[in-house]
Amino acid sequence: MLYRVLLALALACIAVPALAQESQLDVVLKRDKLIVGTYSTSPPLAYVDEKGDLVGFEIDLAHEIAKDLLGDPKKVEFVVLQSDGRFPSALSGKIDFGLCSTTITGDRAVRIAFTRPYIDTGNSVVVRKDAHIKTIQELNDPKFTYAILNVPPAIERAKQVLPNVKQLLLDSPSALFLAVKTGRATAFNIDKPIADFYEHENDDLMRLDVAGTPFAYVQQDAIFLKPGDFKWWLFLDTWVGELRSGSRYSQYVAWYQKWLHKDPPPQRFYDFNKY
Amino acid sequence: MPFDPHFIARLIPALLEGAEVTVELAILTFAICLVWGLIVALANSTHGPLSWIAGAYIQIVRNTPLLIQMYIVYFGFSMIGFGLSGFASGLLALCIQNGGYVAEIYRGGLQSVSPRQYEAGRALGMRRWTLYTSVVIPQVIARIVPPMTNQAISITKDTSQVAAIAVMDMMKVAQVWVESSANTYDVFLGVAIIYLVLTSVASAAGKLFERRLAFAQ
Repeated sequence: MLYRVLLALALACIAVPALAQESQLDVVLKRDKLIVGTYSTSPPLAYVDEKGDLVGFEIDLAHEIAKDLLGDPKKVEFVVLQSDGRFPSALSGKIDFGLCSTTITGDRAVRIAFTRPYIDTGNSVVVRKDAHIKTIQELNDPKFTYAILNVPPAIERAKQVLPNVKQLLLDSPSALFLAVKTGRATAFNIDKPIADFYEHENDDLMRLDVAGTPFAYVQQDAIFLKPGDFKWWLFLDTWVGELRSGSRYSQYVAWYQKWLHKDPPPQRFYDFNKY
Repeated sequence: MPFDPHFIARLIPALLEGAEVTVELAILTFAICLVWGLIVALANSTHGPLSWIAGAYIQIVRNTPLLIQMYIVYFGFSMIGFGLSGFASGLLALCIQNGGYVAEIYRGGLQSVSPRQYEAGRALGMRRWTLYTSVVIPQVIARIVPPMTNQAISITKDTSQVAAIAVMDMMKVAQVWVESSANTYDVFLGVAIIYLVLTSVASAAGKLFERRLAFAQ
């Protein structure tokens, strides 16, 4: 009996590395279903609508990827993640990739692979109208409280631009929104598309002017996956490239208009028709 | 690539800073609950409205999630105009909930002493005070030490929920590190080990206390 168990263990040790070499692309094709990690509280990128369905810009992207891979946009299963669960989900193979407002940073790229970005996001600061301030500089006052996500870029920006304001670190966009709505915080910082959504839905909130500060710089959100799987990464990266600047650009325009109510950045930085 | 020793070397000091807040919260919560739980247990053992209030309190706080209680204290109080700090809100919510559990532990301890011992004490001509201090209370304390130790351990772990209301405890520090590094395994493994050390200290203290009080059994 013991001998058999040892034999099985030895076989498992040999079999595991062999399996690990199979690309996730082949795994998905064989499984005939794509498993994608998303958020459910970051409108309009990925959120639950009034009917209880998971919808948004990122959700549409995932359906389209499933269509290209498996011929059917419905062959996708969404795994709703919290921010601290997203990287282990990808690294452990629970999801095929993550598509959840994830900003590329150098620190993260050490341990997780990113495709090229599918969206540029800026940062916005949304403030209660009853605070009677208009610019980010006015917010830098110890009498105000400023709510941010516990993510490094937001913490860095707060240190740089708002050293005097009281800080609150929370873990989801909806918690930030709740903090400001309940008066816990005066203002909150969030990705631009999410801020657009909240500002649009709430009359008592407004946008602060952030011109000329690091808040005005662009960040890049990308699909992330387990590193080391070149075939799978290449497919996803190519897919994003085609969407942003190649054969799928018209689709990109349509999603941008549907979810963000504006046009995406141009397909080329130069005027193609002149050359 | 988990188990990156250089990463862990940078991580540990940051986690220990957060652990200070965790320890403060746990000790304060436990100390307050020892007193508050006794008050609730005594109120619950009376007859009449005070007992109903105490009973209702115990049922409500034990049967609702701690996270919701924290949200109510943290966001709700601020809505009606007196916002407490994150630390104070967390402490209050932890005391509200654990007070209910501790009160039940006291009740169990008090009820475990057989009514015959009260009768015997009185038959021996003991005064009420002597009866309690030399017969009942030593037994009660000896019996509640193991469940109180459990409660202390549970409180230590429960403190991690204050991360949701912006308190920089060990869990929050860990979340920030996870966000910046994507190295979830090392960070959460480190956190788990530190919690294990903290709860082991609590459990060892409980064991020591239990041995000291063994005479009462």
